[in-house]
Amino acid sequence: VIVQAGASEAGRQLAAETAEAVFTAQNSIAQAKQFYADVKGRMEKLGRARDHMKILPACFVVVGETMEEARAKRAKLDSLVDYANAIASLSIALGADASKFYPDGSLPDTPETNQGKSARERAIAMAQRENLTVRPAPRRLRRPCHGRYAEDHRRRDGRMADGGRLRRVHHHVPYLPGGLDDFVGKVVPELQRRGIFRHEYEGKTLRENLGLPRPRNRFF
Amino acid sequence: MSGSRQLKLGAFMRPASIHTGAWRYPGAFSDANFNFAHQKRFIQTLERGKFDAYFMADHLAVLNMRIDALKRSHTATSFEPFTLLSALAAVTERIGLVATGSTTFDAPYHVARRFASLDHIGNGRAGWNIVTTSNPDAALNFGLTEHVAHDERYPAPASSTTWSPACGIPGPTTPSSATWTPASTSIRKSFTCSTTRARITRSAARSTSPARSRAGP
Repeated sequence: VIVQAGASEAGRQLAAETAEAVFTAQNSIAQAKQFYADVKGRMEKLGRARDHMKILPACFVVVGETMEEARAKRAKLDSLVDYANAIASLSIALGADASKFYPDGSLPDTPETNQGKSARERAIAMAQRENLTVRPAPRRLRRPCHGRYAEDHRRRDGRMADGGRLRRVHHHVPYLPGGLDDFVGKVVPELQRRGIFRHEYEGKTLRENLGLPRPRNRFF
Repeated sequence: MSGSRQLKLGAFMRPASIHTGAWRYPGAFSDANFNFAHQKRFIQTLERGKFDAYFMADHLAVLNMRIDALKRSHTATSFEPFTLLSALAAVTERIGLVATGSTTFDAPYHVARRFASLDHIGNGRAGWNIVTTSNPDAALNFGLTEHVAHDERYPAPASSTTWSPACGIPGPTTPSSATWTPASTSIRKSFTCSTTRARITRSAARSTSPARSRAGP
């Protein structure tokens, strides 16, 4: 199974040509829809069936019995990040040395570099939209996933699925092993109870489970 | 259990989690980067939860951070992904095994052979996350002194990747035409990647890239 993750112009085109699964992170539902339509549209132009690619948006899930507990866990986790390390991570996203920025000043616009393009664009767009300063920027880049917040659903994945739009999720585990144990022990059974996630694997191969067709043998 | 309302779940994994503070969270395995028993526990938990795929992200160099930041990082480096995923294939049955494979430095044959092997070891569970490498320090690990430009890392729009028989990995669209030779100082090298028919020009100029300067000594 071919997977692709870059969201630059070249990355989208490569995905449309080759990918059967795409990992992506978008700032908003509107941008995610635009990305989805763009990549699937490129596939069609190339003569590929739209359904032969599954797009998996990133979803950073912190599980709590209540929203307050989940937020407290997230705050605890963020508080454990070393400042120099956070700024270094931001530098990698931007392709520029963020340690030279004033921590409480606005995140400056930085020129495009030879490194990854979409991570930089996402960081700058978010900083401009939210008037973000440098210090909290790294943790804002890893936000919980979007979804429709309705009723008393205590788990974010349930909300997303209830929104009716999200059918594939790339789960970013917040901390190990606890964050993973909570997801598998609490969220998965809830998704299964709602009838939106499998109880058993459908197939034996990754391709079968994702619902992707087997490529034709082109040699013999 | 099929239809458009069904969720598909993949897990984006780093050895100690993707969050840079996670290795300090209560109960965390701070030695997870080089502890196979922990990675085995994680993937078996995911399989119990019927996840479609386990994806281990990878970098071809130590993170390009200053040493003071690197010392406080969750993962400076970790297992080579094919070694890890082959071992994990042996302790799981159904979950997909997705590895990052960069086309920036390897010949198509290297990449194709590794994924074909992993796919057969795991009985059809391998996935290839196609990437180009953006960490400028990685170039140094391959005998280059300057990083490959973004547009040159990606194939030309007219490229095509087609499929090999059993395992769904890309194979050459034309008879193999890789002509890559190791770069040397001040000589402009190029090679043609037959998988994508991308012509990637490697510049091996003497200058040090700005990003490398930033990374410090």
